[in-house]
Amino acid sequence: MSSMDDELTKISASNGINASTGDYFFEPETIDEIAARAARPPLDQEHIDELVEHHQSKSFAVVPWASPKNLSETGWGVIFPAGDDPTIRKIRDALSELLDHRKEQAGANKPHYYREFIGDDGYYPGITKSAFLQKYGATYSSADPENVPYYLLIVGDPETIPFSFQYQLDVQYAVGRIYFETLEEYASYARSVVMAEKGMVTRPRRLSFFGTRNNDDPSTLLSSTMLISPLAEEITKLTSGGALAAGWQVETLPYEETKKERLVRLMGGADTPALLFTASHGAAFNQGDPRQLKHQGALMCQDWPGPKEWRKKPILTDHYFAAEDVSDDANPLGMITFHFACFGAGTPRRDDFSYTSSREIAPHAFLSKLPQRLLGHPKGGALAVIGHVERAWDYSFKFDKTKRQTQTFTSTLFQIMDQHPIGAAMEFMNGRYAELSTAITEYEHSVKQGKQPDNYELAGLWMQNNDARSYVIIGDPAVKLVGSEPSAAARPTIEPVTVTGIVITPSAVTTESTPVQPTDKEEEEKTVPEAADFGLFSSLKESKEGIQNSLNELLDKTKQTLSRVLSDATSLDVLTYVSDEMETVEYENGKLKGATQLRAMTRISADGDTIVCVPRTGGRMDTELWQVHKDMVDQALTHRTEMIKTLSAALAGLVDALKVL
Amino acid sequence: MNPGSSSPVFQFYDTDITYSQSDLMGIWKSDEQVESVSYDISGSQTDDSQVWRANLPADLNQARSYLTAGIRKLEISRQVLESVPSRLDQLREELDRGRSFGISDRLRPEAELLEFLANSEAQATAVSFGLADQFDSKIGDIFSGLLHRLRNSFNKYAWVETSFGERLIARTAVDWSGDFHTAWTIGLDQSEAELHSKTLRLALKTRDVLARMIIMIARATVKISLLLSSPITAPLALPAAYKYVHAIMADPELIAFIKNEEH
Repeated sequence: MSSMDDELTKISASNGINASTGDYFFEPETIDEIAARAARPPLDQEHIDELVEHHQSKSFAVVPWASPKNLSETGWGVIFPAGDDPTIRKIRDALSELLDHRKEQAGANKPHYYREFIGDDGYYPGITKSAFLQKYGATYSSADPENVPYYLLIVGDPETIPFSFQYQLDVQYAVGRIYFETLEEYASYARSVVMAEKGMVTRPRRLSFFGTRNNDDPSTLLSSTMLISPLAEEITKLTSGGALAAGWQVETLPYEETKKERLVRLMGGADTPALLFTASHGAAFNQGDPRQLKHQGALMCQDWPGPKEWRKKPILTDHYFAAEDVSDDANPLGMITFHFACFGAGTPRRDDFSYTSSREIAPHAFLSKLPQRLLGHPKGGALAVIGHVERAWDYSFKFDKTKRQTQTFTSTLFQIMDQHPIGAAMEFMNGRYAELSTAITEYEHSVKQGKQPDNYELAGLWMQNNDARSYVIIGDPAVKLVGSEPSAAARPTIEPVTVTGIVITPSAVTTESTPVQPTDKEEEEKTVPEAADFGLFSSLKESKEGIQNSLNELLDKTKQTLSRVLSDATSLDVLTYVSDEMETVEYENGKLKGATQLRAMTRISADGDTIVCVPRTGGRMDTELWQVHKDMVDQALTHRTEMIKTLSAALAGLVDALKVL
Repeated sequence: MNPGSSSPVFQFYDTDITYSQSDLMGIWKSDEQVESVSYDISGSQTDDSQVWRANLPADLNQARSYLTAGIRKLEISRQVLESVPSRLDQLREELDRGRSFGISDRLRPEAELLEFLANSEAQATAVSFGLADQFDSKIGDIFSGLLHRLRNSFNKYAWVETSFGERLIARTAVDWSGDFHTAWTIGLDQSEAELHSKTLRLALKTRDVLARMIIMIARATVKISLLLSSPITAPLALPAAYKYVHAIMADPELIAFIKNEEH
């Protein structure tokens, strides 16, 4: 680290909406600290080695002779906390309907392919994944049900069986988790799964995309254009291409309609689909906020007017969809939902992205209430919720700053729709986690070989890695989506919904605009033949043609720029330098050159993730310079928003004018 | 605006723009209006940038007042521009209802527009050779120039500089995606920093108002074309729209209001 870098080490990472304050979720961190943490990973070396092997072998998580769709080949097991707490036995009994069902399936040929890890076989506090597996003769290679079944359901809260155990186990196994506060909910969930798998529940084969978008909010603006839109397009192509069972309908809600009342209809209401994918902010609360435990991870809806109008005020319950919005009359039975949102699945006790390990963000780790409510609903629950523990980052759907990567999501959704057990479908997510861990290992190796260390690169890789790790299943990992032909009458019955709208994307804008051309020249001459014959309008026509050309050029440029701003500019960078030789300062290839020192940086990316490097002087933050920098950030955000509005208006105005001329 | 200085307070420079034009929104003087500019900012000029420079006097209060007045002027201009579609809608409604107001009864921009259209239509009916004269070819050039300038702002990055009492205090590059790169001179205090922040706001707002002006001309073109009775005269909608928007921006009442604000 140079001395200049020493002065430039404060970094913050934020994501999601801090519902306690109405601002973006924002906590200080240093880039050196993140990099240092990445260099000394909290994960044990064995786990890293395993991830690398998993990635390099390109193997499936389960042994290749077992079909992931067949539980009698893959096995199924349930992990309870160890010990003789009578409550655990009561929970086990409440789940008996599901356990009996799985025993019948997984143990059909080999009884030991069904396992209950309970009592002395259960999870002991502090036991590592490797120690747990070794106890049963399992190794780091593919999951072999001869030792430990491939599908593993953890039953317990994340304080008792930590998220870290789940993440580690998930690398080669298909893992899910349930935890409820009442026995009735366990029993209800068990019955829901069994009913669904016995064909007593169907849902129309419909995938609904629900993506909010506030135009002054970079997070949702880009998640709507770089995640929801391309994902919907790709899945639509797959469904229309015959790759899936007939009758699938893909519905993308216009973002204007992604309001809370619509989610009420989609999550147990009249429009409940078989599969729902949401992309939005997750509500996050400060530790100590009375709403944190019951509302953290609730889904922010379009009812929130956006950060510009609202950011300095606490978020209202009307702005988000929380557990209590799923009423007792709702019927989420049989559905599966995927929530791309911060804390959508759960919250760890400590910040996963903070170097300061003592920094607590919650009184204890907990699962989000919304998935719990959906799964344990008294009238029958959803089969599973896929969500994110801690903050969800835009790294999930983009890479290299500007390029989108939705393949992982597409593959996962495709397999769910193709009725793979949800745990097997999630292997694409796990593969990405392994891939990123490998990238960190390769980076470390190259540094050892003499490469100049780059803390930004290392910190970026580390954060991507943590992000990819934290997608989890709330529910039984062996559940499959239930779907029927839209016309099939079954419980629950809902009317099939056709595709009603397309979210505006840069490509859609381009497509709509392309047919608009200047008036056909021949037609134009027919309109004014006499005048042309007399040479009447010669100067007028020349001028008009010149203007038409200029308008067309400007129209093309506007389209390109708007497309670039919406699609490519996945982040907004604001950099602040100081110089004692201002005359030497120049701008070249996207960077300031000359006698400058970089003192502060803010990068706001797709879903509101913010990286901030704060200036320090003499070990303390340079508050004056920080204030100046913050002013630049505010101005840059305002400018970006205005630019998008103006470009959109210009596009519409120019197209209309060309039609007239 | 800056009587004590040989340079104007606000300068604009773009190497691609070689034709003479009026200053931008009445605030920024282009290089052809100020010979010394190219010399002053030669170190900053590149073909891929548009340079916006504020030469502020050493008096902090005076410097602030220049910037505040400029920003306020742009805000008012934008408000006025936004009124264009509704004013034209109102005019059309009145014409559709056949209300017989004389031209002189109307606001000056609307009166000029109707006069322009009436003359054009009359001459078109008579197949007059003189009709082409109604289209001032300079308007076409000016409008093309505006489009060119706006297009350049998409192609080029904005290079914004602030000098305070002849001391260069900050430079900012704003690229097409909106990223900000700012260099500040060491030892700057908050009030000086605020000056550059406002210069930046002024430059970007100017660009935005310029774009809004073109958008409004485009929208006015569509609306004015509906006022024309003959397809022969349809091409006149654009120059008519340009003249109309220009008249609104130059409305004496608006200018008086802005001058009053400045004081």
